[in-house]
Order: sequence, then structure tokens, then C-alpha cells
Amino acid sequence: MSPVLELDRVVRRYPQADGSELTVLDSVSLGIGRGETVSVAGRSGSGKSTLLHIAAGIEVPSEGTVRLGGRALAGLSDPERSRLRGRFVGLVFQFFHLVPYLTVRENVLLPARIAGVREAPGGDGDPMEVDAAADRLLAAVGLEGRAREPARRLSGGEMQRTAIARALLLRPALLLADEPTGNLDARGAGAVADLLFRLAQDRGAGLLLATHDLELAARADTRLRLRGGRLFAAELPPSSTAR
Amino acid sequence: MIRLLLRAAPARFRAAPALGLLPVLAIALGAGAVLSVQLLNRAALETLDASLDVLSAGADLVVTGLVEEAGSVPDEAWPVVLATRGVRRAAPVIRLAGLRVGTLDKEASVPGWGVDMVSGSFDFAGSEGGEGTFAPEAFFSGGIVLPERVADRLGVGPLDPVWIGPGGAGPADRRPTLVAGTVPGEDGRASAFLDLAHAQALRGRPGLDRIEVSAAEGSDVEAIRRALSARIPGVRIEQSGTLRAEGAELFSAFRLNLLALSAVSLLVAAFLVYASVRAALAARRQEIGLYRALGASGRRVGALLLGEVFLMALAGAALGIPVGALAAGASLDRVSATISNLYLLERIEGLTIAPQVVLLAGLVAVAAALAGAAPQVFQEASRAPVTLLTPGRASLSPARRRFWRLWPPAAGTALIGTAVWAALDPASWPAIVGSGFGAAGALLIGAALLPDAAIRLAAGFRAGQNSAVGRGILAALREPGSTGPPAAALVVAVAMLVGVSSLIGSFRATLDDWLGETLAADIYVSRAGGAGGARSIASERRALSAEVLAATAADPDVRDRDLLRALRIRLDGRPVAVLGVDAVLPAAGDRFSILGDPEAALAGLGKGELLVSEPLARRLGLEAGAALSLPAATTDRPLRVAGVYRDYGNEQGALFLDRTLMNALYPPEPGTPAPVHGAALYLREGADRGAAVTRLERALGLSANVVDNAALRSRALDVFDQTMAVTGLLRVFALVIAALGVGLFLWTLVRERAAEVALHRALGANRRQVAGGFLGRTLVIIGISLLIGGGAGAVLTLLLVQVVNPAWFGWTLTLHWPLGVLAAQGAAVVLAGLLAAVLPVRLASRLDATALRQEI
Repeated sequence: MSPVLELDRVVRRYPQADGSELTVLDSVSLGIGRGETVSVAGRSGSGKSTLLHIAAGIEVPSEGTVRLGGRALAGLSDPERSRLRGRFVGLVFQFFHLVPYLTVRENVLLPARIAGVREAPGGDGDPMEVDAAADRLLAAVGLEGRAREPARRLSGGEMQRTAIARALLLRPALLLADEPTGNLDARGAGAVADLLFRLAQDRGAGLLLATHDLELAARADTRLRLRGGRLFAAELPPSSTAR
Repeated sequence: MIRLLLRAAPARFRAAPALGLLPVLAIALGAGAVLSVQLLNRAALETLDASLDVLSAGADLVVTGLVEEAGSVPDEAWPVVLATRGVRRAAPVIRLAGLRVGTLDKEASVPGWGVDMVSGSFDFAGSEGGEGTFAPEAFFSGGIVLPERVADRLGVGPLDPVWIGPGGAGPADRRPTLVAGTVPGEDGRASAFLDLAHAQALRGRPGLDRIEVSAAEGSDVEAIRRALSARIPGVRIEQSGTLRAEGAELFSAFRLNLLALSAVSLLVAAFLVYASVRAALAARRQEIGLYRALGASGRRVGALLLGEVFLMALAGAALGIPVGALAAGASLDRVSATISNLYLLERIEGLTIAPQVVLLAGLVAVAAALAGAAPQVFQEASRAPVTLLTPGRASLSPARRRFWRLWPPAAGTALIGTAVWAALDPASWPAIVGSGFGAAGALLIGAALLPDAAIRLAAGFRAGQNSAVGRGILAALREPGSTGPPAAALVVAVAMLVGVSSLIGSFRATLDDWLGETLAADIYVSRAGGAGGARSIASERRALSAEVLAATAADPDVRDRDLLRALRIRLDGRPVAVLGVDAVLPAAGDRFSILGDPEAALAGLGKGELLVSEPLARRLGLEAGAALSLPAATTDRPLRVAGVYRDYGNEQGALFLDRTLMNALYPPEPGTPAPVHGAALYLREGADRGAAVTRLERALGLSANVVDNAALRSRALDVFDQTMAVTGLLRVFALVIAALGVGLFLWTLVRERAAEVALHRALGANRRQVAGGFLGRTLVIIGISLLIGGGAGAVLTLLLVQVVNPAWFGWTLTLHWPLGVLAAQGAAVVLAGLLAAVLPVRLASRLDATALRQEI
């Protein structure tokens, strides 16, 4: 199976005020196939978010190649890259990034509105109306009763569940989740993590998860750690392997 | 996505009403300013049409006098025109400018026409394009046909009694008559009609003002023109429409000035749009980042955001239409007074709100809004999504950040430098940019680009950190982005206030000096109700009667008399006053303010040479020693220019010559003495001027106006003030827009900083301290605006006085800073800024620590 995401010797440097450069990612290579789950753990500021942003094409690497579905992002124009991202990638952020004045349902429907599509791929591969898909996802994340509420009235856990539903609406081949439980309490974090893995698996999406929570990281098929800008295979705590 | 954004617009508006209201109101006021000026300009042109073209529809040629005196086309010319081959119709016309019509308790001014209906050469109903009422017997007995609007205002109908009098006539010249009918007439073009012979009798002299000539079908109009020129000497024969074009040209400078003032309001509005869009985008940065992350391209996001601005601009433009119409209505009298004073006799009677004018104002406002928003929108849309999504993350590389920080002050300084150069060296100016208005525009835009940099420069300010206001000032200085935009709008308004007020102050001081210098006589006598001042070139100026002249000569205190004859000719397509005075008059040495050598100029005047007014000299490129070909009654006469004199009485141009020479060049009708239109009286030394005025008033009764030197001077200054009053409204407009911007911007800031305020409250700040913080920001905005705007206003003054005025009006003005007025305006700016800040500051002081929860 060809990988949905390939990173080949990706480097990311940031210019500093004193004229020097800070290397956050140093020759990082990574591949993720459909249905595969990969976690990247690391301390705060280790470059996890940068890795995900580069994978999503919302940040450009200083060096190296990023391929989404086999297409190199470097050769694409901004509209082409944006279109590819909209149809191929689902994003879940630590800070949810919901539009506060839109309703929960409207937030979930945003990717379809931006892509200008009325249908999304259904579970059996047949297309279905995006409105129906949004309702089904809201039911799946347990928010069907709050669909018409403005997003600003939700609790943190509800916001992240809405964000997960939004990320999955167009059945993306790749799901990128950046500290999805970082802003939630233990109970809420557990529920969101369950949801994320279950739905990614149900839909056959590749999942790249950045987290500093080792227990959450341990649930992935492949577990990696970012340190000094480089990727290493992660050692897992015993409790995590037990799960 | 468009639909989604549209549907979400009300919710977004509810969440941040100020961000939506600010641009809408700014655009509304900008559109209102443009619309009101367009409506007023159009009304002025319509008034001109009413005085020139109302009867010309369908005419091919117009025969007018070489000299623009009333009745300068001889009555005998009409049958000659009618008998010319190819002429289908010839309508003789006399114009009764500013005809007064009234009842016992009401009166009105209306353009009046004497027309011939007996020969069938004129049909007023057809000309006005509508059905009216008409009582032929009353008309041919001297009755008047009134526009319906005027008849309604006076409360009269057909066969009702009214009185009529020529323009500027006193009660003694009124005569009773009947209403002979009404005509519908459009607003601004409505005219009254009298039978030709009765109109001549009312005016008190024979002769026609013009003959409208229609060619027979298939005939050669140019051949008719040549034939008429050969058969009727001493007249001008021109294509119909030429007069209007020349008339429109007459006050094009005035219209351009109004337009430029309204453009300043629009510029202020554009800066407010810029400011509000900048604030709105800052508040929505993460939302934009999210759209980009979810697959919307930068171009698409930019287009959508501009689409939102477009919708706001449409709403603003729609709101601006009634604002503009109301403002135009409110300033109609002022503009009318200006037009009457400077150019025409008729007053503007009404406004027509034409759809194309409304559309134009709307389009200009929308374009200004999009221009104001575009730089911010495209800058934001071009950022990488990740920089939008991550709060506090530097969105630009240090080099680009430096570029974005440095280009506004660099461009601003370059623009201001160009403007300063133009102000200091006007001679080299036309070759560089071509217009003083262009330089003024560059100056205002340049000044508006400076506040951010000025705030950064002032960031080292450390005083008063222990007070709430001081901390507010400090916060404002450390965050130029949150203070610069409203300051930019206020800078433009302040610069405009200073520039226009100083121009008017300079003009008034120059005029006052000039009046003091040239009003050398003790007493001035003119025909009662005569229009204009001593040197008015109004074609309806009326001659003094022999009795009046005799009475002035007989007064025991009068030592010498300077008699003035006035008529109007056309030079280079524009009207020019020809004024005859007694060149040799020992008592009257200081009648002129001569540029150059006064002695040589006055000696030349005595030898049959011309004194040319400064505006005319500039327009025709004349100087002492040049030759000017003067169109006289029979043929053109080349005369030498003896000198150029300052003249602030009119911008159309005037020239003086000896009255004896004038009477030879423009001989009066056979058997009648040459008319005298004014008399300047010099009293014996020690004579009581007040007593002489009283004595002359008693002797002359209602037949003449007698004013002493001081009264005439004061009257001239009153007319000047009246003329300039129209600029007041536009100045207030710009200030209100800018103050509104300050208020709404602070409102936005308070809402944006609710969490910060709540934190301060949680840390123990009281309401007064919170309010003080925002007050500090307001003071920075006002202070920066006064500083930069005041400086830019000074340069603008130099530009207006030294470049724009000489170029457009031909006047040399002495620079005079009206310090009292400027101080009052500075206080008004401070007051307006503080008043605008009252509500936002109050809102801020009412926030409490619970706002922290909302942010989390």
C-alpha cells in the first residue's frame, strides 16, 4: 500500500533575532499508510507541532520533501496545495480552533463549504449528502443534541469532539492531530482519544498524532519520539504496553 | 463558503458590532460628503443652464452682443436675422437675471425671460416640456408666467395680482401685474416669462440680449453664421452650447475646490476603513488561519474578505445617500450665496437628486473602501496558515517585518518631501506633477502614513508610569498597531482643518489689506439694489441717474468724484469686466494696488493704456508692456498694458482704462450720455463723513445706495465670509468622521482587550484606573494627530496659498496664520476626540473580573 504521507529528510529552521538560526526539525523522514496510526511524543517546544504543520502543508520546510497521496507539495501552487489539504487531510488542533459564532453543525460542515462540495464519501464508499454526513458524525461524537448551539457555548471536551467530527467529514486519507487532549481533563481526554482512534480506524484514515502524553502515544501502531530535532523509536512505559 | 459567511454575518456583527459599524459609518459619511458636493455642483450647473440654455433647445446659433451689457444686441438685428437665407426661426430674448416676484407678504427670485410670442418664434410650454396654464390677454398686457413651484410658494394662480421688479431692484422699481399662467419646469431650470416689450420696459432700456437662431432643415449652419456676421456688425455668433461650456468653465475652479474638500472626507473614510479592517482582521486572524488550514487558498480568503468589505461599503453607501442629500440641502443656501457672489446673479433654487450622481457617489465610496481594505486583506491572506493559527507567533521574517515597518514612514516622508518641494518652489511644480491638488493629496496620504513610526519613536517615553493615564499612554506607545490607524484618520482631518482655515485666514487678511489700500474714497454711491460691490461686473449692473450724479456733484463737502463705468466683454472665451475711471484724479492716488512700478502704471493709464487684474494677467500671460487686443463696439483695438493690479474682487478677470477712452471704444446709444455705474466721492479735509452720508441719503432717497468707506469694507468682508461658509460644513464632516473613527476604534479595542481589562480588575485595578488607561490611549491618538496633522496642515497651507490659488484662481495671497482660529480648532479636535472616547472608556470601566471567564 502506498503511503498517504511521506516526509523525506525534512529540515525546518527558524531565523532568530540575533541573526542565527534555530533548527527545529533535522532531517526527519517518515511514512504513514492508510489505516496506520503513528504517534510522535516529545517535550514542549521539541518540534511536534511544526512536524504536523509541515505534514499538513500549512508550513513550508526549509529543506526536504513532503508528499501527500504521492504528490510533492513543493511543486504545487497555493490554491493547489490548499485544495489537496482540504480533500486529503483532516486536522485536529490542541486549541480546537472552532469559529465561535458559527453553530456546532456549521463548524463541522466548514470543510465541505470551503471545498464547495455537496457530497462526501460514505462508509460503503458511496457518496452521501454532506449535511447527512455531518449529522451522522455529530451523532458519532455524541453532540447531536447540541448541533444548533453556537460553538462558543461548548465545553472544552465538546469543542474537541466537534473538531474531530469536522476533521473527518470529507473522509480524509490522513488525520493529523496536534495535542488533541492537551487542553482536556483526564476523563475528557480519554473519551476524545477513544473517539479519535475509533473513528480513524473505522474510516481507514492514517493517523499522525503529536502528544506529550505517553499513554496516549502508546496507543499508536508506531511510536516515535522527537528529540533535538530528530525522530527516534520511542520506549514505552509498561502500563502503556498493557493497554 | 460565501453563503456560510453571509449567513454568519449577523452573528459576527452581534459579536463585534463596532467592527462592523465603524467602516459602514465611515463610508456613509464619506459617500455623503461626495454626494452632497456632487449634488451642489450639479445644482450650480443647472442654475447656469437655466440662465443660458433654457430657451436654446433646438437652436443652432446664438447671436449675442460683443459687449455683455444688457440689451447689447440691437432690436434691428432681429428682422435681419429672420431675413437671412437658411434661417427657419429666430427667437429674440432678453434675460431678467434674478427677477423678483412677490405678493404683499412673500417674494421670490427667479430667472426671468422676455420672449416674443406674437411672431410664433417662441413657445414656452414646448420649451419647458410640459403642460401649463396660460392666459394670453394677461400675458400681452404685461403679465408674468411663473414656474409652478414659485407660484405655489407665493400662493398665487392665474390672474392673481403680484409685483415684479428687475434683479437687485429696490421697492421703488417694483411694478404691479397679473399672473398670466404657470409652467411646470424642472427643479433648478424653472424660469418666468414676460412679453418681450414689457420685459424691456421693466429693465428700462431697449435692445436684446440674444437671438436664438434655428436653421432650416438641410441648410448649412456655418454658412448662416458667416452670412449673419457679415450682415450684423458688433455681435458674436456662436454655436448653441458654446455659452454653456464657457459658463461651466467659469466656475470650474470653485467646483474643483468643493470636490477636493469632499475627497478629503473620503480619504479620511478610507483610512477608517483601513483601520477597521485591520482591527477586524487582527481579531479574526485565527479564523482566517483555520479556513486556510481547512483548504481555502490565500487568494480565495482574500477575495472573500474583500467581498465582506464590499458588502459593508454597499451598506455604507446606501446610508450615505440620505446623509449626502440632507447635507446638500443644508448647505444649499451657502453654496448659492457663493455662486451668486462670485459668478451668477440667480440663486440656486433647488436640488435634483439624479440617479447617476447617487450612483457615482456610491461607486466612489465603495472604491475608496476597497482601496482602504485591500492592503491589509492581501497582507493577511498571503501569510502562512500556521502563523495565523498560532497566537503570538511572528508571522514575518525579520527582514520582511522590517520592510513592513519601514515602508510607511519612508513612503510618507517621500510624499511629504515632494509636497514641501512643490510648496517652496511652485515654479518647477507643473513640470513635475502638474497640479497643486495632486501635491496636496500626496501630502495628506504621506502624513497619514507617519503615526505608526512617530509612536515607535516616542516609545522611549517613560513619564507617569505610576498613574493609570500614564500607563495607558505607555501601552499605546508600545503598541503602535493599536493606536496608529485611528491617529492616521485624525491626522488627515487635522491637516485639512489647519490648511483650509489658514488659507481662508490668509485670504481674508489679504482681502482686508487690499480693501484698506484701494478703497481710497470716503463715500461710494451706486444704484439702489444694484448687485455686487463697487467693482461688480454683473451684467445687470444699473446706471446712476442724472439726478443722482447731480446731487453728488452739488454736495458741499465733496471735493472730487471718481466716476465708474462698467461693462462686460469676452476675452479668450471668458467674461471680463471693463471698468472706466477718471485716470487723472489727483485726490485718488491709491485706488490700485499695483504689482511692480505703480507710478509707471498710473501714468500709462492716463495715456490710454490698460491696467489688468492679476487673475486676468495670469490667465492671458500679460505683464506691463504687453499688448492686448480689446474687442470694442465696432472692431478690435490693440492697447498696451501699463501694469498689473491686485484684484480679489473676482477671479474672472477685469481691466481698467480711462473712462474717456472707454466711452470712445464703447460709445453709448446716440443721444444718451455714457452711463455711470458708480461714484466714489472724496470729501474735503475735515469734513464729517457721517454727516455727508446722511445728507446724501436724504437727497437721493431710495434711488441710490450711499455707503461710507468702512461700511463698504465691512460689507465686502461679509460677502467673503458668506462665500467661504460652504467650506465649513465639509470641514466639520471630515472632523466628525475622524472623531467617529477614534470612538469606534476605542470601542473595538475595549472589546478586544476585555480579558486584559478583566485581568487588571482581578489584580485590583479600580474602574477609574481602567478608564484612565483608555483615556491615555485617546490622548496619544489626539496628541500624535495634532502634532503630525498640524505640521502637514502648515505645509498644506503653503501649497494652497502658493501653488493652488495662483494656479487656479490667479490670486497672490499673503500668508497669514489665523492663530485664534487654529487654537479653537485644536481645542475642537481635542474635545471631539475626548467626546468620542466617552462611551468606550465608560464601557471599559464597567468591565469586571468575570470577563476573564469568557476568554477561557
